Amino acid sequence: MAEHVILFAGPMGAGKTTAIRSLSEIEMVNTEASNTERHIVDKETTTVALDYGEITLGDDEKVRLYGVPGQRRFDFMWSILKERAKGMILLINNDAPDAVALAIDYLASFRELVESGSAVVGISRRDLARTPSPDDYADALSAAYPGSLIPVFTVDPRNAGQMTTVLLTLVATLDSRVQPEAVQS
Amino acid sequence: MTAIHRELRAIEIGEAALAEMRELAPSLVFAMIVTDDGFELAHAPQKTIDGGRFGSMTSSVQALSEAVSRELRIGASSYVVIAAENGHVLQQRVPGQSLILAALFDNHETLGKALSISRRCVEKLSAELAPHNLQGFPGSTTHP
Amino acid sequence: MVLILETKPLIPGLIPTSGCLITSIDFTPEDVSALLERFTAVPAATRFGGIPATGWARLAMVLHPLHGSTDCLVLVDLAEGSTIVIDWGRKDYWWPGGGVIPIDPTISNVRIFRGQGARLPYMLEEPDDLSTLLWHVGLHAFPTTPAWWLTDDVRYQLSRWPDFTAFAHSPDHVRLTALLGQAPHTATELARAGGVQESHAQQLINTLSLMGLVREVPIEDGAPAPQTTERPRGLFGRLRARWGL
Repeated sequence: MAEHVILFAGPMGAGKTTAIRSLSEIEMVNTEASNTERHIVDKETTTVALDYGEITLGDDEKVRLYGVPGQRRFDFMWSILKERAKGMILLINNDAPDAVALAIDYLASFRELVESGSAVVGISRRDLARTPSPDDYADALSAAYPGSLIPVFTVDPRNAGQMTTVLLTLVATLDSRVQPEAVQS
Repeated sequence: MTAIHRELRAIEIGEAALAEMRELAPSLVFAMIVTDDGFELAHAPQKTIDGGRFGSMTSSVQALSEAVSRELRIGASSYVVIAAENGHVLQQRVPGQSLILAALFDNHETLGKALSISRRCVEKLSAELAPHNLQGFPGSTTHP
Repeated sequence: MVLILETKPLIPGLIPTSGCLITSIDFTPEDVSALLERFTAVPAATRFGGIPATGWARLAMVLHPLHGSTDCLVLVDLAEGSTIVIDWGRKDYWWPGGGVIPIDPTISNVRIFRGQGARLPYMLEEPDDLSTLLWHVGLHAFPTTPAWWLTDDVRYQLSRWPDFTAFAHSPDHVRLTALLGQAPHTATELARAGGVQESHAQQLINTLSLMGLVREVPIEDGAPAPQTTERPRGLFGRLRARWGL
C-alpha cells in the first residue's frame, strides 16, 4: 500500500480539523475533548490526539491527512506524526496576536519538513484581520529559511476548492523536487 | 463557569481519593486525575514524573482509544491498559465527569487488582464530585 | 470622477482605520482639480517604435517598471466611466462599482503620481489585494506573446508563489509554477517540461513577471536546458484525476 502522509499543524482555532474535513473522502476520525481553555480560544472542543482523514487514489494508494493538536503540551503528537509525514500544511489564523511570529515559531517545530521544501502555509480568518498580508509571511519565511520557496495562501478551511489548491500545491512541490518530470498533467 | 480542575473542593476530593488508592495499593507508582483535554486536577504522590506531559498523554490516549471503540462500534471504552516490561498504566473515565484517572502500577500488582482499585477510585470520585455535592460547600473557592 | 475625489458628507464619529475611512470633507471641487493636476498622464506604450499597447497591455507596461518603487498611486480610467485606483505602496487597489474585471477593456487614460509617502486619502471601502488585479492583467495583457519587457536571453525562476486561492487559476498553473520553482526555464522549456502549449507557458511567465514573482537568470553560452524526459504520472496527476480537475 502506497501511503502519502500529509500533516496539518498550527495553533488552536486556525482551522486544521475543518480543513481535513473539507478534503477527506471518509468521515473524519477525530479526538475532540471538552476545551477547558475557553478564555484562550473560545471553542467548545479541542483536538487532543489527532484528526484523521483520507483520500483514496486506488486500490493500493491513499493520501492520509493527519491533524495534530495545536497546543504545545501535545507536541509529543507532533513528533510522532512528523516522522511519517511527506509534507505539511501549516494553518495560521490571521487574527492571532503577532500571527507572523507565531507561524515562524510553529514551523520551527517542523524544521526538517520546511527546509526540505515540503511545506505550505495557509492563512485563515483573513476576513477578520486583513493584515498581516501573505507577503508579510513570505518575507518572514524567506528571512528564516533563506533560499526556500514556501507557498503562502489565503484560505478558508471550510472551502474545499481552496483546500484542494493548497494540497495540490504541496504535492506539486513534492513531485517537482523528486522528479521534475513527474509533475504530469 | 470555573473549570473543575480549578475548583478547590474538587481538588481536595481528588487528592483524598488518590491518597486512599495509595493505601490500598502500595504498588501504585503515580496517579493523576486529569480533564478531558489533559489538565491536572490532582496527583499522587509527589511528582516523580512530568505531570504536565503525562496529563496530556493521558488525554491523547483516552481520546484515541475512544475513537477506536467508535470506529469498531464496540460500545463505550471501559478502560485502557498500557502493559510494559516494568509496569502498567491504567486509564478509566470518571463516570459523569469530563475527567480521566490514569494510574501507573509497578509489576508487583496484578492487573486485576489494579483494575479493581482504579474502578473503586473513579466510582468514589463520581459520587463525591456530583454537582449536588460540590454546590454551596462552605469555603469552596477557585484554585488559581 | 474617481471615488476618492467625490465630496460626500462626513460620517460623524467614524474613526480612521488603515485605509478605510472616508474623509471627503477634506476635498472641495477645487481641491479635486488641484489633486488631479498632480497626476501625470502616461501615454500608451509602443513596442519597437510602432505598435501601441491597448487594453491591459497598456496598464501592464505602466506597472511593470514600478517594481522596486514604493510610493506610487496609479489611476486607470476605463472608457465605460469607472476608474481603478492602485496604491502601489500598499499593494492594494480599489475599483468602485467595478463588478467583473473585463478581459478586454478600453483604457482611456492612465495617470501616475509619484512622491514620497504617496498614499491615498482614506477610502469608503476595503481595498482588494493588488495581486488579484495583476494576475488578471498579466493573463490578458499579452495572451499569446511574450510581454514586451521580456527578453530572449534569460530564463525565469520563481522567487515567490502567487496566492493562488485569491484568484481563478487552473491546476496547470500550479504545477507549472512548481516547475519554475525548481529550476529556471524559458517559456519553451517550461512548455516542454509541463506538457502544455508554449503560449500557455508564456502567458504564465508574463503574469508572474508582472507580479514581480520571478527573477531572470541569464542563459550562459552552452548552459544546458533543464532536463525533461518522459514523465511518469506523479501523485499530482493521480490526485488531479481523482478530483476530476
